Amino acid sequence: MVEMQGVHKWFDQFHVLKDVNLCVARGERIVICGPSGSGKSTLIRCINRLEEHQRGRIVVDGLELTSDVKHIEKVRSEVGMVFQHFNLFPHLTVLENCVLAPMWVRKTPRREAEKAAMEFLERVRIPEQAKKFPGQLSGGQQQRVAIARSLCMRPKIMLFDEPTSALDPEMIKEVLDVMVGLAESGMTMLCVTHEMGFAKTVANRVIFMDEGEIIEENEPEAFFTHPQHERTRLFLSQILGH
Amino acid sequence: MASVPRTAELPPPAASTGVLGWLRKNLFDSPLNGALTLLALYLLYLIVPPVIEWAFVNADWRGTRSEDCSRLGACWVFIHVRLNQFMYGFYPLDQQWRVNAAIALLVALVAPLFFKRFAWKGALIPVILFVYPVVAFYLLVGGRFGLVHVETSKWGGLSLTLVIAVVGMVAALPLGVLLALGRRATRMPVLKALCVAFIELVRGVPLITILFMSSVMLPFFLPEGLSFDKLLRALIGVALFASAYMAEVVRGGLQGIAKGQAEAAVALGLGYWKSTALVIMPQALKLVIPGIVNTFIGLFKDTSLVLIIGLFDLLGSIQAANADPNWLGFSTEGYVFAGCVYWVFCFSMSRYSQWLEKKLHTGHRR
Repeated sequence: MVEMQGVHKWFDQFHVLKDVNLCVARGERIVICGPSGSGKSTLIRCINRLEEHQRGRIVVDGLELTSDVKHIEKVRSEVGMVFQHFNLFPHLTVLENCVLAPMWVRKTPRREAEKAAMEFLERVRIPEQAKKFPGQLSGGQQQRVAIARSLCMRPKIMLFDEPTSALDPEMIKEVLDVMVGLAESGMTMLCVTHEMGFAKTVANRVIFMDEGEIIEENEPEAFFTHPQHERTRLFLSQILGH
Repeated sequence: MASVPRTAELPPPAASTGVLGWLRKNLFDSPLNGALTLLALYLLYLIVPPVIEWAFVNADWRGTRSEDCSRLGACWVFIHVRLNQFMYGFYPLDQQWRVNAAIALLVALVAPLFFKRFAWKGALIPVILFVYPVVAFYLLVGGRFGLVHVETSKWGGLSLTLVIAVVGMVAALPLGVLLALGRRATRMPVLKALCVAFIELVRGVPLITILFMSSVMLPFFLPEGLSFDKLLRALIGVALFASAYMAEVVRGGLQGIAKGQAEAAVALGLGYWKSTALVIMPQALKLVIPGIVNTFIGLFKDTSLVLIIGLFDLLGSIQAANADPNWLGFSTEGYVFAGCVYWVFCFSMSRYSQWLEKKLHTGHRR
């Protein structure tokens, strides 16, 4: 589904991604972790070209990402993304947030889009909030709406960029539960997160990044019990130690 | 689990409420404030009664000639006699229904927007923006559909003010939005430079200069025989001037929108124009309603400057009437009347913007 070959990226002089190679198969669930500034967010943001890569190849669902706007928009409509800060549209109700893209990108009739949106809102367990505005919801509810909004486009791949980092502790579980449910339904997922419990239960593969490189890549069991690299060990001891 | 007893809610202390409490807290809470309050009351006593006496008690309301006025108070006869000119300029009397019709039509089209439950709202806005101007143009100018042609040089008074203001506003907002977007188009440096140059040039020049340029200098540059209507030139000048200001107001709004909003819209597959129109612009415009209305109010009052290129708007026609030898010495009445009319329009715009802000507020309502 996703293929990255020799991807490099710079922010001005700063080399953010250094020769990243990554293959994601259909239905795979990948967790990406690493210290802050290691390039993990940039990596997944390259997949729907919120960031532009400067060298290498990225192919998503058979479409190579170049400066071709048509390709980019096609890829974006097939790839859902959930952000750390939810980024719901505050001027629209929950339901309107959900039907906006299906109606304007897929040209789905409103009635049909609303019906589908209600199904997804039910799946993330907040159908009763459909008429409210995002500002009236808690962080956990907003993030679940954001997930539902992405799902309404019926994406083939879902990207999660630290979806629980901005949440109060008591709300993390409700979001993770939704994500686990999504994983069980067979969705292809790439997830930047520090929730190691989630990585253990859900991921097929865990990727550790540092300073723009993929340092280590392994199945969760092996990754957590026998990390191969010194840097991975240090990182794991730091986040699991407290 | 033992429950913690809650503290009972108490009423606020008695001395802090009621009329006396309010007076004490706001007007007499210190010797200095008390003195200032008394001074302010004295000033009001000095100013208000004479004004009321002049404007109402001693004023003359009836009559047809300046001799009917006692000159002890305001001579509203002057306004009354000249009212038609103040409203319509020299628009032919028997054709003035056309001006009224144009205004009534606009009011009829805009009024439904104020009601929340109105199913055709979406269809109404394009009608107002695209169909109405054409209808209004033929109504006012005529020359077609059996309507007599009325030259724009005969237009005047409040109706001319309204024409300039409405055209200016309707043109300035979309133009300003486009200019603001152009100024932010970092990926298109040429377009960006053009927008920046236009905004900075127009904003750096007084409106009078632009009006002069368009009425005096433009004809020199145009090929012989080709001439634009004077009103049209003023309209273009006013619209361009206001759009430069509007662009900066809108840009301020765009900067207030978090980057995540555009990213989320784009990540859903919405293209640049769709994400701008559906996600970014509604939020940005809502954010700068006070600024937009501020520009509109400024524009409304700036229309009085068209006087200098020989168009007689409300203020212009009042000044023309002041110079009438039969009515010398009544300019105060004229200016007070003009001030009141401008104030009514500007204050309504201000109230409307506050109502709109409240209505569109969804951010933190809980």
